[in-house]
Amino acid sequence: MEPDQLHFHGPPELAASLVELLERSFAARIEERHHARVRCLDTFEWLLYHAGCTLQQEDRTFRLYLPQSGGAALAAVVGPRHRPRFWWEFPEGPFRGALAPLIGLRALIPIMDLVAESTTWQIVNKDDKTLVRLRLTLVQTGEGEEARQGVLAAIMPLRGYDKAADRLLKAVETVAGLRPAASRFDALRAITGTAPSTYSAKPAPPLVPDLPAVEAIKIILRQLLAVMRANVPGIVGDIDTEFLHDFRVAVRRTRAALGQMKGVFTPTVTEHFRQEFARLGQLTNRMRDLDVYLLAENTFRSQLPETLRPGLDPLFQRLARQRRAELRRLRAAFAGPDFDRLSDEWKAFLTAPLPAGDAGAPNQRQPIQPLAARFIRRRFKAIIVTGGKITPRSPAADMHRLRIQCKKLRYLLEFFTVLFPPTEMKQLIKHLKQLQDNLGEFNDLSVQQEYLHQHLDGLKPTAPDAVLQAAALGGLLTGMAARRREVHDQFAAVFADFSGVETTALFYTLFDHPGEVSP
Amino acid sequence: MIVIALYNIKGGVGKTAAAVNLAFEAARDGKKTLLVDLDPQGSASYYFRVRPAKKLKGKQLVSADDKLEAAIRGTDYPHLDLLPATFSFRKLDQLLDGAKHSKTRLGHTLAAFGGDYHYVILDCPPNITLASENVFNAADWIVVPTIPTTLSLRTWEQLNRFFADKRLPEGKLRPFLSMAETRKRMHREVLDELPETEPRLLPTVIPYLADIEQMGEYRAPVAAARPHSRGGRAYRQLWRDIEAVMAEG
Repeated sequence: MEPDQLHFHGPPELAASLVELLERSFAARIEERHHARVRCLDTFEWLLYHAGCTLQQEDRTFRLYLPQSGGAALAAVVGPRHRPRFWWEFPEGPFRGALAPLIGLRALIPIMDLVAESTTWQIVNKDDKTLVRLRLTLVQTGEGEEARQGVLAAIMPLRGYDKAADRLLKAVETVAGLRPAASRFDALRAITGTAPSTYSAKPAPPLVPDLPAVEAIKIILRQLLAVMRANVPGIVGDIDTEFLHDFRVAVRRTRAALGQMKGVFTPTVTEHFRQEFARLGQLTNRMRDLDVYLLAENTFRSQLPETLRPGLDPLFQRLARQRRAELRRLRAAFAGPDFDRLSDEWKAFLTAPLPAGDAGAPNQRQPIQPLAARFIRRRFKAIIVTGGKITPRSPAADMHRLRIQCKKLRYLLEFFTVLFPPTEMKQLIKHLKQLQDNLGEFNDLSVQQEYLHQHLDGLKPTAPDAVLQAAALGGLLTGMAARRREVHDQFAAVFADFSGVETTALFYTLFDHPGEVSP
Repeated sequence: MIVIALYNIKGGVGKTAAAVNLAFEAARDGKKTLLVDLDPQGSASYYFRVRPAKKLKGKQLVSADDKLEAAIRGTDYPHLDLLPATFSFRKLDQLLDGAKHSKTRLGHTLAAFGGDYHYVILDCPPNITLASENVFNAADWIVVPTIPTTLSLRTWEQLNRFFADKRLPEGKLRPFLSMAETRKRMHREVLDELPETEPRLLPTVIPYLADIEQMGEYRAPVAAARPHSRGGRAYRQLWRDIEAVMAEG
């Protein structure tokens, strides 16, 4: 299709050298001038950038550049006062369709704001046919001391005119100080000094098999603390629901690491921090529940016939109100000293040198790999026992207990992935995930049913639309009960698959160490 | 890939002007478009300032050759490429005559390299030949510029008869009135009557305009050279008619 553009960047004074070059060595003239304020957007962890995409906003037009699209973009135009942050806030169409899977629940945030003044030159032959274009863009960003400037040069070849493009490229390459960039976006980043986010909700800890257990666990825990801290501004700023989600996962993983790694820290230390992090987790429970309900609003509505849908309005209005109140409470909690104090105390503990002796922490100097294998094996056996006892008549509480055990195993597998063969680990996690999906859906349905029942019980029969509301809730509850039975019925097959020969054999090959001393 | 052919048995009906301007309109909406200049006179190529492809042989249109793809040139306008004419396209008929599946070869060739494009627009040579039968098979729509004269209407009827005889789908044919001059009595009569009798007629009329006739001097689509001209607006409207036809299927 359209040949790829070639991009360069350099200090602003090179613009004059490039123009001089064009006028001296080519039949060139200006085709177009364009002045624009451009905003580049991405998510907190730069999901678009890492997927090879860029999103730019110019006035009310958003353009999404997908990889290998030859400079063509998907565009969306929004209303004058409309500031969409989530994919579902854009008008329906190809732009929105492409954006949705790329960013999921994440909000778009500005990552670069710049003023761009571009001049497009066309190089022509004696028939006055364009052979290749050179677009020079002066870019300015920031104000005062923060201000930065640079020039962007893009060679824009036309199909079938390779010679002209080559000649222009050779000429541009002679300009000293001009540097090539992989894309226009990378050139902009170089000029504005913007580095991509390196945040990851699940960083891979750099572990080696012989590392003393206490060192290994501290590496993992330090990374988890960094994840928690990175997410606090996004929670307080209420940017999107993933900040709180990632924060909570990091807290849960911290608690799991503390609880699962018996004998690595002293019982006093373990107990103290487990309680602290349990409290921190509880602090955010309510908010997460509200987020989950509000995110499911469209799903809930779509499960009802059109006529009953308005019956859900009061419920979601109430949830939105409760969320606003909860956000205020959460902001106050993070503004207070508690989180900073815990975080500092934890950091100090995690970076302090190891005290002499191992009173109360017999495993702290054990090499991490065999110890991890032992913990994983123990957790796996517990799951096989618990799951094996579950029948279609078992209470929801048993399913819940198994779900928690699975989570703990999942965290262990993820913490220690690098210590074991990657293909097999991936396979194990895949099998486990299938089981977790079943248990997770069952749990979500159980909790939601209970919540809707409570809401139904609290309805005043005299309220003006009580009948409509009750009908809507009834409709939802009926659907949920049916789906919950379905999921419960599927459990046996899913669990049989997980506890089958293939997975069990994998577990024993990977994590069994004959001759090892039992604790 | 949607293939739209601009065709008339008769020459000098504003066919190339329509092909050039409709291709420009198609690409203007951001849809990748390829204009294929099948007319050995190469007027469409001339309007885009693209020289005839020296090394290109008509044979390559028949055999799905890589060289054909290499001959494609980017025009000065975004999303619009051109496969320039070559004098050897004159021999296309002889070549097709010797080839297997001689009536559907062109369609296979286009499908082989045209898949990158949303629209392929064919500027076809006049007369009914084996090459035009290929066009009739390959095209999803055949747009027929028709001058509002009795003689011109006769060729339109001939074309319909040919389609009926050969059992080609007449529903593909879409005439529009071209080079219309309301100061001429005969033109006025056809302009009044044809919409009543021909349901396939596209509603937009392209008038006889200096803007369009001068394309040979300024060598660009009307709307590119003269953005606010009547000619530019007329072709835009005609393209909207064709889009409406495509939307109905």
